[in-house]
Amino acid sequence: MKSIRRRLIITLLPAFAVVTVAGGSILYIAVRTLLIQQFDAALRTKVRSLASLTTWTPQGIDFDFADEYMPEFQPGPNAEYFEIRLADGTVLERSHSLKLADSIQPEINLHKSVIWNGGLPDGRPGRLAIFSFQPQADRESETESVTETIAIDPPRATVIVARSRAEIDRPLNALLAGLLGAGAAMAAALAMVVLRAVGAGLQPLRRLGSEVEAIDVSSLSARLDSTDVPSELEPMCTKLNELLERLQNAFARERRFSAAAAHELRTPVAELRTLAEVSLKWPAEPTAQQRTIKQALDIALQMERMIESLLRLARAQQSELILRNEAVAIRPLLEIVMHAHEPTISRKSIVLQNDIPASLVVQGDRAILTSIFANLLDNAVEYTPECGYIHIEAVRHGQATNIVITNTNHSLEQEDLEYLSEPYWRKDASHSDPGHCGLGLTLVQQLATAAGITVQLSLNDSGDVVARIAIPNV
Amino acid sequence: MRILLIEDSKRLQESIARGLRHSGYAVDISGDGKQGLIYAQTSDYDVVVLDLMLPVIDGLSVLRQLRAKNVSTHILILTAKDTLEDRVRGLQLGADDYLIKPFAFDELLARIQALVRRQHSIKSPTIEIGDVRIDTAARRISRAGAPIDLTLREYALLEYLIARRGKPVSRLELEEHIYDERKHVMSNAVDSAVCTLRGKLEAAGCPPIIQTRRGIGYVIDDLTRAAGSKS
Repeated sequence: MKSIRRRLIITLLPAFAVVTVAGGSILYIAVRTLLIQQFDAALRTKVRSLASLTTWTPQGIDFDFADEYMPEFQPGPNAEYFEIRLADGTVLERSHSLKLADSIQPEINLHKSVIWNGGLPDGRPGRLAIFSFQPQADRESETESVTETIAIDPPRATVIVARSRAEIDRPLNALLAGLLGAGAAMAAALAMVVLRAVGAGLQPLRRLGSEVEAIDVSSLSARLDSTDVPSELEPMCTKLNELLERLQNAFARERRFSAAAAHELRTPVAELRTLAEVSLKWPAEPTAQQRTIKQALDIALQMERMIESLLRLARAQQSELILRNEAVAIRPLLEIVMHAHEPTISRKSIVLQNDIPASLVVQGDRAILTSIFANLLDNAVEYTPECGYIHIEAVRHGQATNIVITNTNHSLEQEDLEYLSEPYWRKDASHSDPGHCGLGLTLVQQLATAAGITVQLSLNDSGDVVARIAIPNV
Repeated sequence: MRILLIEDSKRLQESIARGLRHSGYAVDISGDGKQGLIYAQTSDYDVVVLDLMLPVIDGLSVLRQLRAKNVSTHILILTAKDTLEDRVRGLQLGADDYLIKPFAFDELLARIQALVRRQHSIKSPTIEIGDVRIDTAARRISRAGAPIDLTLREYALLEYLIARRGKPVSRLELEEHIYDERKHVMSNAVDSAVCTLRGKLEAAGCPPIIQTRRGIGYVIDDLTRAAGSKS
């Protein structure tokens, strides 16, 4: 399993370790460089001082050195060393501390100094500086033949000073020990900080995970707590809550549908069962028996219609419809559909006005269009009050042909519109109308969706119901 | 006994009413909640059978309004709504029983009989008044062990008088409980029915059990013998 915590720890801990080691190393190198520079500067000064003590006269080279001014060259555990040699290798002067015969004497240019690490005569690690120079002419001892003195070039000499590195190594070693100790302590502290920080940083994610884990089918009304959620998790929290909302609605819709379907099926079954039981127990007269049988048949037909609607709805929902694309003349189709309603239209004195031009042809599936119009007109005829009107017209709108069915309405209100396509919804609480099973508009919406048709139901300013069927122009 | 059936399905109205009438009940029918509410408030019914999904006023509102107005008639909810919440809500609002569609007619009948017994504070389905024995479940009458054949109307009359035994029952009350709204009741119909009933009950020279209270009505003296027949 990929763990964000593990991944963060595996990434952060080595990164912190590398940064710590690099920081320590840089600090160490900087201090070391500084110390060596200071040490070398002092060494160089000392070399030049010794060189300046060397004077030349035509009689020879003199080295004016007083031990008391430079006690560091006295023998001792911290002794420093110097040696001045002439170009021919003759030792002009040595510090008392120096017992070694020959020291390293690299070839260097005149007036140049070289510094390097090396061992001291007493075995301690040291740093050595060599400076090649020409001793200064001794002005005080000049004779009258100054020109002669100047004419002769002073001999070349070198001074070597060796000094223990302890001044560098001790603080460097202390620094190194300090850095290692501090580094180890810092590494431990950082590990703890990283572990705690990662733990604390992932806490909201863990809480969110626990909340999501606790949600099941029975608790879809729960919502993830978005208070105190880090901004990085807010979009996820919002989206999950939206998803839960949709899931809750879908489950509620499914439960309502199942409950409504069960209810709708129970009523005709109850009718049939009671009819049969009562008729068996108290047989009716032969003339009345015909009526009983007719009632049983009506119930069976009602149940058949309901089951057929359910099956069609299921097929539409599962996209099992095979759609055909054919030219469909709308007016003849509507006339066929309306033909079945003529007795009701006549009985209720409904004024029917069909303004669809005979030439109007759309592309679509004839069976689906028939089913959509049959359901919508069935409702229009059923719910239009006596002496009301039904108006059908066609309107070109953008890339679609709109068929608009408007009918007089005395029962539906604006707030009812959102429920119209709900399965089994009816304005009246009673569901006893055997002619309607309450699935018509649900089926219309499902069929329309499958065929790319849009069906919108609304109320106009007069309160009439307006069904707008938008059929895309192919 | 008189039943009010508030049910919007015409087919169920017809079947249930037919079965109940064959079982000796007078049945009034209402197809919507509003009318049913008026019926239940204006007439004295022994039991109301109430659907929940009704036009105009839904069944639960009818129930709530009846109980709010202290109508104490026993109410049986007969509905296709079967969830636990529906049942609990119906009973908590004051229904006495709850039956889910589809149902067996015999079960509906038995539940109505039980509610009728409760209405008249009777526990046992069998009651004995002297040597008269009435089995309200089987709807059989016998006197001194000999079965007596009664019409539905006569049975309803006797059952009501026995249910109200010890208390005089007026002719109007008898009319209300043994005839439903379909019947146009003649002014002497109750007297005539009581006369016929007496004739059948006293045919073998048995002493009369239905007494006339002049100016009041009729009464059967409380000579109950059946254990538990009176609560």
